[in-house]
This record gives sequence, C-alpha cells and structure tokens, in this order.
Amino acid sequence: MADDSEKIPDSPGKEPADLDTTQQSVDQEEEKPKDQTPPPAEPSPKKEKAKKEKVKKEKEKSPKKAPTTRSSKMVACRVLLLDGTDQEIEVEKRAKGQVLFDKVCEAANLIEKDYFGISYRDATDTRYWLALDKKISKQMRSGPWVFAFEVKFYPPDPSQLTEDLTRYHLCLQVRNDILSGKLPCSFVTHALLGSYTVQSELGDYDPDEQGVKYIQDFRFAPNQTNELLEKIADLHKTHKGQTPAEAEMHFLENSKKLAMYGVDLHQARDSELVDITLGVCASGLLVYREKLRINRFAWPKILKLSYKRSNFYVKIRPGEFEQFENTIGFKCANHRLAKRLWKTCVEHHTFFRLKEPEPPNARMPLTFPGFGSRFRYSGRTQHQTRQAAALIDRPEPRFERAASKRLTTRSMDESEPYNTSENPDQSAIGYGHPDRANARTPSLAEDEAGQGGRLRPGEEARAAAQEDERMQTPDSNLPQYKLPPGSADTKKEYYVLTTKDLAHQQGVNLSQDGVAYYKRGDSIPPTTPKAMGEDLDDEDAKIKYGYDSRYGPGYENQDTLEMRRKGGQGEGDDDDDRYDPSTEHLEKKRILITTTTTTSPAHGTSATNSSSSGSSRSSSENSIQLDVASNNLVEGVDDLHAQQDSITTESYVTAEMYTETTTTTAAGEGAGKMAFFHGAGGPGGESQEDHHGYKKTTTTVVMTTGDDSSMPPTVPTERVKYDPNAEHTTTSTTDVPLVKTQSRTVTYSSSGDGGRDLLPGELVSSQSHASRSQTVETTTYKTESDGVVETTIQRKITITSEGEELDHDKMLAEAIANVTSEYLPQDRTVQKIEIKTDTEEVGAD
Amino acid sequence: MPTGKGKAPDVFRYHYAIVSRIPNSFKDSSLKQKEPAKPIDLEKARQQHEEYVETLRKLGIDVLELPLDERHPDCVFVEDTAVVINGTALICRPGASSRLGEVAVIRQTLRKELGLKIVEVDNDKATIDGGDVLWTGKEIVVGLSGRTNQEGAQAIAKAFPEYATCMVRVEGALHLKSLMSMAGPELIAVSRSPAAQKVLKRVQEQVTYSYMILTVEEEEAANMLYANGMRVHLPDTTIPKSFPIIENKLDFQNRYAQDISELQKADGDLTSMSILIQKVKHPKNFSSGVSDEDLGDFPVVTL
Repeated sequence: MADDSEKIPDSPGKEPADLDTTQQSVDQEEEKPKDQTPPPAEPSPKKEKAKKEKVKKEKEKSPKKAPTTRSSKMVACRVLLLDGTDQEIEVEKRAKGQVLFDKVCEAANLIEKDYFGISYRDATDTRYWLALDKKISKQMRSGPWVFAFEVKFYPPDPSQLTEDLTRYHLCLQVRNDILSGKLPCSFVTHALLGSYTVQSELGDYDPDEQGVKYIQDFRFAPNQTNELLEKIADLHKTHKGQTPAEAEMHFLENSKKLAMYGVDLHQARDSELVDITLGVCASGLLVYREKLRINRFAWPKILKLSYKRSNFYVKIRPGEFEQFENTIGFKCANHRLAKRLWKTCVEHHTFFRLKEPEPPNARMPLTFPGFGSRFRYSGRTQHQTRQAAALIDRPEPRFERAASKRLTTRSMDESEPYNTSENPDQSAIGYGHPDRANARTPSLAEDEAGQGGRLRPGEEARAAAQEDERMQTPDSNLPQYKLPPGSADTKKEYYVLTTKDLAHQQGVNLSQDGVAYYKRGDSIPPTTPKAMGEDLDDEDAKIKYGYDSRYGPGYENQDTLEMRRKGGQGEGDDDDDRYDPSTEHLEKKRILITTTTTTSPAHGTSATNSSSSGSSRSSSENSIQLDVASNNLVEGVDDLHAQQDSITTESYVTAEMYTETTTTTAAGEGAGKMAFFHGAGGPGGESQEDHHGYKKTTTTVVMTTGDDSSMPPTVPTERVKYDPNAEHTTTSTTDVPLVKTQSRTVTYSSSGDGGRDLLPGELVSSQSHASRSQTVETTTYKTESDGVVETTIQRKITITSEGEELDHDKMLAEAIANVTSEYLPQDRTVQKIEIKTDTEEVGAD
Repeated sequence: MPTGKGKAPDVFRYHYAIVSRIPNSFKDSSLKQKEPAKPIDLEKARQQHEEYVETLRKLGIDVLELPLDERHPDCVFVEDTAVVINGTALICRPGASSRLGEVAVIRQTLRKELGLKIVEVDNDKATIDGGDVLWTGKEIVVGLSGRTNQEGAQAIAKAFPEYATCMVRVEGALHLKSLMSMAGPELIAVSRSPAAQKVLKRVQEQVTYSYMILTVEEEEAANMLYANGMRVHLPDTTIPKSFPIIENKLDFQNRYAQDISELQKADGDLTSMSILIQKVKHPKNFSSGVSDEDLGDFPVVTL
C-alpha cells in the first residue's frame, strides 16, 4: 500500500478502508494527553495480537531512537532562541514537552509564557509545535532534538502584555517574521519598523554618525537596500528620547496592524485543487489565493472544524437568510498537515476565543474512544494568562537587547529554513515530495490500519502510546472540534453534529455518509421538546461541500447532499457493511453524534408519568432497545454550585450482541433525540431487513426524577422520544421551572439500519447490578424470524455523576471495554454501540 | 509602561493631489460606456475641472496640475493610473489599452516631485484601473470590472502587503468606485441601485472590518471625495434625489458641491480626476485606520 495519505486528491473514493483507522489511531495516540489515558479496552483478541506485534516491533527498534542521547537518561536539546542564539538544554529522555518549555522560559526569565511555544521541524522542514503534555520522545520522530522557541499565539494587542521582556521577545519574533517573509511589508513600513528597532537597540541617533554605516550590520528586510538603510537612519533621528521599551512598543503597535501579523499559514488546495493558503489567526480563519484574501471566517462564524485524512473541513454557520450550514473542504498535502492545520485552529480558537479551555466533561462525547482526535488545547487561554499576568509582582526584569547583530551573523542561512514551509511561495513543498514524510505514510497506514505489525521508523513511540491508549477504538471518525455558538444566538441553537466520511465526497454518494443538518431561526422556543420534533420533521437537509465563491474555479458547491430522512430516521442503508471492531473497517460506518438542548417542564409530572410508563413499555415491546425504558436518571444538583447552574452528567453505553449475522438492530434511540443512526449492515446479509425505521415508536416520555439524591433541589425532566410520524401530543408547558438538558448521543451500529423494528423478542434473562456511579444491566432476548433464531444480548452501563468529579472518559472507556470485549463470546459480534450523554443544568430557580 | 498609542493618524489626511488638464481630444475621443445624449461641451468641461481643482485647494490640498496630453483623451482621469497608499505608489496598468501611455508622466511626477516609493506591476497579464481600488483606510477592496482583473488585484495586494486586500466582482458599472466610495472614516456611500447593492453585498461579505453605509439614490451620487475631514459631492442639479440625503446626513460645513456634468459624460466622477497623496516626512506609524477595537480583541466566551 503506497502513499495512502497522499492519494486523496486523486482517488478519494478508493481509499482503502483501513487508512481511516490508521490516521485515527495516530491521532489518538499523538494527541491524547497522557495523564488522562483510560486503561486500554480491548475490543477483540485480534486487535490485542496486533498490538503485541507492535510492541515487539517497537522494542526491536528502540535503540535507534534519540541519537543525541548522551547518557541513558539525559538528552541534549538544542533550542534556537528568538534572538538567534542557541541554547543547549538537557532533559530526561522521558521528559514531557513542558519540562523543556519551562526550562527555556526560565532561562529567558519569561513569566508570560503562554504566548510562546517550542517548535520542531520535520524532514520537509514543516514546523510542528511540541505538545507540552506529551513526552518529547514520542513527538520527535527521528533526528536530533533540535527545537526553536517561538511565539505561538501573537497577542492582538501587545500593549496589554504586562512585561517589557515579553514584548521584547515578541518584537524579536516579529522581526524574524519580517526577515523570513512571513510578515510582508512595503519599503515604507520596513523603514519605519527598522527605525524603531535601531532606536531600541542603539538608543538615540548619534549626530556624529556618518551615513548608514552604523546600521549596516542590521537585518531589517528580506532584500534590504542602501536606500532602506538611509530611510531608516533618517527616521531614527526622529525617535530621539525613546527608551528601548518605548521603541519596541511603537514597533509592535505598528506590527499588530499588519495584515499578516500573527497569521499562521498553511498550504492547501480547494475542492478544485486550486492552490490556496489558509491562515489561522487570533480572529479566525483566513483564506488566501496568492496574496489576495478570498475569504474570511471569524471564529463566531465557524460551527465546527474537522479533518479526515488529508482533508480539512470547516462548517460555517449559516448566514441570516441561509437555512443550512456550509461545510467547506480543503485538501492538504497529506494527513499530517491536515491535522497540523486542524490543531492550529483548535488551539488558536481556544486561546483567543475562550475564557478557559474546554472542560473535559464537555468534550467527552466527542472524544469517546474512536470518535476522533481528542486533542484539545489544554494550556492557558489568553484570558487566563492575562489574569495571571495581572498578579505578577516582580520588578521589571532587566535584560540585554542585542539581537540584531546576531541576526546578522545568523543571516539568512539560518532563517531560511524557517521560511520555506511557511512561505506561501514555497507551496510546492509537501506536495508529492518524495521524501520521508510521504514515504513513511504507507507503512503507517499498513500497520496501524491493517494491524500488520510493521511500524514506520520513528513511529514506535507512537505505537507504544497507542498501546496504552485506545486501541479498542471501534470506529474512527472525524476529529471534531465544535465551536461555541456565537454569543447572540447561544440560546437559540441546536447543533446537530454528524460525522461523516467526507473524504468520500468526490465521486461518492454523499448521502451514504452521515448528514448534518441544522435548523435555525425557528420561532419555536428551542426549549420545548416538541420543537425538537418539529425540527426533525424538516425532512431534507442539505450539505454543501466545496467552496462557494465567485472567483474562478475551485469553489463550487460541489456536492449537494440531500439527506434522506423520509420517515424521519433509521432509514436503512444500502451499503451494508458488517461492523467488526477488530478490523476497523470503517469506511461505511455511520456515526452520528448529536447534541441537542432541550428544556423540559418540570411540572405536569403526574400526568406524563403514567404515559411515560406506558410508552416505555410499548417502546420495549417494539424495539429491542431498552435504553429509553429502563433508564432512571437522577438529576442532582451540586450544592457547591447551587447558585449557578450545576451539571449532572450521565453516560450510558449499550452494546448489543448478536449471534447471527443476519440480524439488525432496532433503532430505538434515546428519547428526545434528534439523532438517528445509519447502521452499516453486512454486505451480504440483511435480506430480511426491513427499513421501517422506528415508525412505530410512539411518543415516549421518560420521567426522570431526582429521588434518592439528597442534594436539593431535584428537578424532574422529561425526555421525549421523537417520532416522525406520530402526532406529538406532548403536554409540555413552558411556564414552569425549566431544566436545561443536554443530551448527547453517540451511536455506533454495524447493522444495516435502525429499522429492525417489530422484533419484540423473547426475554430470556435480565439482570442488573449497580454501584455508586455505575449501573450495569444485561438483557438477553431471543427472537425468531424466518426460522433463524437469534440471541441478542444488550448490556447497558450507566454512569452517573452528580456533581462529583468522575473521570468520565476513563469510565466510558472501561464501559466500552466491558460491553465489547469482556462479555463478548467468541461467536458474537458487536452490533451496535450507543453512547448517550445527558447533561443537565439545573437553573437556580 | 509605555503605551505607544498616540492619536490614530488620519488616513484621509491628504497633502497633495495630482490632476491633469483636459485635452481637446477629450471631446470626441474619450472612452465612454454610452454615448451621451448631448455632446461634450469642452469649454464647460474645462471650466468644471478648474472649479474642481479649486475645491481641492479649499480642502487644504496642494494640487499639481499636469499639462494636457492630446495623445491621451482620457488623461484627465488620473485616478486610474496609480494607487497611492502609505507612501507607496503602485503604477497601474489601465485596462483600456489606449490609456497605457498615461502612466509615464504620472510615474515621473510621483517619484520626482513627490518622492514616493514606486512599485510597478510585474505581471503583463494584470490590468488595473485605480478606479477599482477602494482604500477604506483599513483595508483594500479591489473591484473586478471590465478594467481590472485578478492578476491586477494580486499586484495590488502585493504592493500593499500591510493591508488585507480582497476583491469583489463588479458588474453594471465602469469601476467599483462608480458604485461606492468613502464618505468618511468607516463610512461607505453607496447608491440604492440594484447594481450597487449587489456589489455592496459582496463587499460586506469580503471585508475584514465593519463600515457604516450611507445609502443615496442616484448611482453617481455614491461617488464622493473625502479628504481632510471634508466631502466633495455632486450638486442638486445632478443628483436631485440624493442631495437632500447628503444635506441631512453629512456635516453642513464640511461639504462642497461640485458640478462635473460634462466630465460625467465620459464616465468621470469626483474621485477619478485626482490622485490624492499623503506625505508625512517622518511618520510615527504607517498609514492605517485600524483601531484596537478592530484587532479582534473580542470578548471571550465560555463553553
């Protein structure tokens, strides 16, 4: 298998299924913070075996690692500082990035260090940021440990930095950016900025100086001329009296207004393979064709960022008069670059736009093992770093400014490598570049996807990490990053996130993939469950791929996807692909992640209560699914946060196992969900599959009442099962205390559809046992249809946390392991995994 | 801690203007989108041009008048020959081939008389009419019209890398600035006409910063000249519907109505007849109207 991750532009539809896995595995490994590692859960023995092979492989290769190792424990790192000097720092071989970063910052005496980062370059001279929460050894693929200390997040307003020292370092970075061409300026601006540099480093102009000799060793611009030096000297005279710090402030006050200040450029191609450049900055994502900016997506305009293989996707919030979001796809040269771009976006968004990094709970559903990269920026945000900086109480540290001379000696021979990958003009790099990065990819694809046991050089560490982590991943998906809603419409929106195999967009029937739809501007109060139903009734959702632009080729709405949701959901899919968690053939699997927000009335309980039980019963009669009926959620309130909203989180995992390959799962989904799932049935079977969806479902109301929780107040909520065909008769009222409920459902199903209803099944056994935070229910059914007897075992694990700190990810991983491996007899396969998260915020009233 | 924040320089502070006198060939040979109903009255055109120059002087601008050039009937419309921002002059390649020769004298004047940094268009395929370049004070919007193409837009972006440069398609008008112009800082004047509104919508989609919109009635009323805190606009004889709007909305004292009806017959407008130049000997900041509020120090959100 050759060059898989490079292939996408040419043969997007023909990707081997396992490539997916590969990338996924790498993502997880690479991006998962170590300390949150859930214990491995093995979906199948097969996988385990593959892993062992991997470990073995790794051990064989490990001696090759870290050639710069001096002793067995310590490794010498060379760090190129912003002033052009090198610093040698020894760290333990097993040290995390943070150790190195802290040492560099300490040496530089920097306190406001969150704006900075440590970068390294790969063989193609592409810059990557060292993840501070991961071991350095796992990030350095090969070669010596050479790093650069750089500004990672350019403060939009440098005057708000607390210390001059920090500003000085930012100045050095900006000067480097100017020299490298990353930050282009005209002659006039070069002269102006240069004059401030001279003032800051040399002080006032000395009238005895003749001509420009005194500054001829400075480097001010990529192609500086004597004319420029003259102009700089001329302007230098006018800065008389400015202290170095003042001159630097002037320098930055000008720099920050430059169009390309702090814009991190990434080469890509649009859907028509036209070269473009994506720029990530504090305010959002910019799209350039050559020097022209052809589009701009401010953070509030972006709903979701994702990547898949070498593709990077941006889902755009619909405009005022648009009904649906656009998803715009870009192609990077390879998977790594797509991921790098994605990570850069996630980090910038978090750093500049959020008050604090996403809490682990909020991202849990999206980071469920197998649902893509769980990478999130975990450092401090700008907001936090400013707060922290306000507490700095040391006197301004003294420091030497002597960088420019060194810049001269360093000249371009050292800064040049820094140009290449960043400079838009060098866009050729990476594309079809027959060097290591590309050459490695195939093997990566092979062993991690196909479990072939062969590792690409330098990947051993990754594999090892993967080892510890979630190899059990039953699926891969788009690593997702959902952005918070724009402030104005926070309360009005539903997000329905659907992951899909967008990589197949070319030449592939898109409707096979998951579909996202999004409805907005409904006048219905989004808080009534009924509204949800109505939302759903909106039959067709369209997704546009490609880029809608007026300029030339490359930006058509390439595909219009019509979502087939006749009957609402659970529609059968025609590509029936049996799910086998051990092989992770994922291409045809559908995953749907939904996030809905409902607020249910807390009153009228007695009325709905009875109907609840009735409906629940009918639900369990009509579908195999149990999760609605048997679920008893306790919505508690954390006293500590009684003043504010408190959060109760619950997750439950249901796995259904079948003995027969010809069975399908009913799609009885969680109540009140806009979700439905596309199963992927086995290619051969499913002859008896019907595609009814779960039309039979009547409105199911599950009352969840806070009962045995001692924590007041308890607020009952109701969950309404959506039925596209039935008339909703939910007796919801809105004039009562409301509970904001957040439900997230993740369903994984390998069966052909969600439509296998009318399988009442004969209850064979049912048992459940509960611990403090976890309930395990096992239900076994037997069904007979067309002479085939199938046994279905449904295990449901409910994790409930009420305010207390639970490592949800870990518990979830365990739960999945529990349902998928431990209890999985040899002859059975996992048919469906469903994960739901319900988060309740109980209002103070 | 030094703040470094002085008063933001007025990017619409202009010290010099270049204009060109009207040649005899203007009467018959100048390019026109449509033949005017009445032929151009050359004398009247010259008289209006002189008044225009006087008006510029009233704004406190030093006007350099170039001698007429019979070989170039359109030479009066100097705006199309160069774009000057932040002390840099990009010498255009006008989209009408008959006008290519006009730039030589302009180049020389800008370099020698005004000492500006000259930048040339380095792509033979590029065409640029200055009338398609809208400098908002913060960024540049390039109209892709019959006279300006994408290569031209790239050349502009390259010449002024300090500024975000975007482009919009322009239909139904000669130039982007035939449809809209700056009527003040962060204020764009645009007509209610469908063509103008269509282009405005594109502009709003593309620009980085936000602007207020002054909507006028007649298409030609949207082209006004803003410099040194004052506006020059067309008189009520030309724009009877828009005139009251302008009177109402714009500061009375800082307005001048200037009739250029004869020049309009050859698609002239107020901005097209001059190149405005800011000349600061020792700038403290490069020319940008971008404010701290613009720089995305937006409120943070909590998930």
